[in-house]
This record gives sequence, C-alpha cells and structure tokens, in this order.
Amino acid sequence: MINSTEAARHSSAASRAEEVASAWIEQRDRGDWSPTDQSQFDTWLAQSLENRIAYCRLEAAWDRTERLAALHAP
Amino acid sequence: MVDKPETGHENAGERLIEASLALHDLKGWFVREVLPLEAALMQFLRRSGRDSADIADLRQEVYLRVCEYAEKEIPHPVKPLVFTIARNLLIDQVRRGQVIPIEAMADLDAANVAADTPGPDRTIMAREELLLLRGALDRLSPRCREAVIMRRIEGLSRREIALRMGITENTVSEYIKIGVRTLANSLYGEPEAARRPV
Repeated sequence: MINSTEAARHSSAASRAEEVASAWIEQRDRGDWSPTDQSQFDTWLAQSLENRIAYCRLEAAWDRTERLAALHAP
Repeated sequence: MVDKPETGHENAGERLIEASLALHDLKGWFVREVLPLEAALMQFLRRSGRDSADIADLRQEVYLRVCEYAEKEIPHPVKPLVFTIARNLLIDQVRRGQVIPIEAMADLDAANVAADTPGPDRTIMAREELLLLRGALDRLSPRCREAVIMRRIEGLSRREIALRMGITENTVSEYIKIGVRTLANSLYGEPEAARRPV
C-alpha cells in the first residue's frame, strides 16, 4: 500500500498496523464476508498483539458511530 | 512474538483459538480502561516535540507494553502504568541520544497530574456522546464524511455509495478506511474540548 519513499518515510509501524486493521473493518462491514475472509482475518489477528490492539481500537471507534443513526432518525 | 502461520495445523488452530479469546478478553478491558486515557496520553507524548508519526508509534508501543503486562495480570488501576511506560519510553529515547526539548521533560510531571482527571468517556451522557460523535464526523474531509454517513447512518451498500458518489467501489473502501482511522483519532486521541462539533 505504501508506494513512494516519501510515504514510507512518514509511515510509522503503528500506522501500518492501523491501515491493515481499518481494511479489515471496512471489509467486514461490506456485507460479503466469507469463511475464507474470516480465516485470513483470524490469521492476521493471531500474528501479533499489535494487530489485535490496532483492531480493537479502531473497531471500538467504529462501533460508537452506530449511535449516529439516531441523528438521522426521522 | 510474531507467530508464523506456516507451522503445523494443530498448533496454528490452537493459536487461533487463543488469539480470539485474547481478542475478546483484551477488547473489553482495553476499550473500557485504556482507550479513555488516550487523550491524556497523546497530550503527554506530544509535549516531547516528536512528529505525529513518532507519536503514533510511541502510543502503539505504550499500548503494546500495557497489554503484554495485562496478559499476565490486569493492572489496577491502569493509569499509573500507562504513564510510567510512556515516561520510560521517552527517557529511553533521550538516553539513546534522541534528544527532546528540556521544557518537554519539565512538562512530564504536569502532564501526569493533568492526566489524573477521570477519563471523559466514563461519565459522558448519551447526548454528550452524540455531540462528540458529530464533532468527530465534522472533522472528516467532505467526501470521506459523505461515504461514512451513507455506510454507517443510511446503511447503504458499497455499490450504492459508489453509484451515488460517482466513484469506484474501491474508492468508497478507501474513504471508509480513512474514516475509521480518523474517527478513532478524534474520539480517543483529542482533548475533550477539541472533540465537540466545529
């Protein structure tokens, strides 16, 4: 995903874990989640505590936005 | 620390079960106890004068060490541990010659005292939560916000969002991914005053 030296220089280890974590959240939320996706996701989670932390943090924020639907309610 | 997926199936399976248990256990505790401290932690780390990529790395390293600790024993309370780890990380960097401004070091204690106020996330009311969420949404770029609102509030599919916005489905995904990360930074990493609607 990093395609230039400039991006690589500014991309921290934390932001790389978060980038992948946000891609998983987006994919899970898309509605075409397959058993293969689940298996790849589980493998990624199992790879490191850092991955699990990045995922927990982003998912917690994304879950909170469910409440925003209340602002939209007719 | 990194488990290699190409090792034996049985072991990999066991590890996956352990990891998902760890995720479940970790998440409740981490979201409830640690994330509400993020605004104060970020304020503390920013005083070191590092750029935002370094700050993000430091934050992640603090979380990693706190969670490694918590896997053995859940710290009660967690706040002193979080700030002790953060302080030690900064001091380690000074020792390795990565000098930080003296005034930033002097501010470490002040930041620690400021961090003693309870996390806002524990006490805010539902209405306050909506204000914070709307404030975080306001901070997304217009196109990103549009995509997030369609996905999260209107419940539209990726394809429908792409059609309405006149962009590809992959671009919709990119907006959602950026939106997720930006919302997390706003909701957890910014001081309360900066989290309200603009």
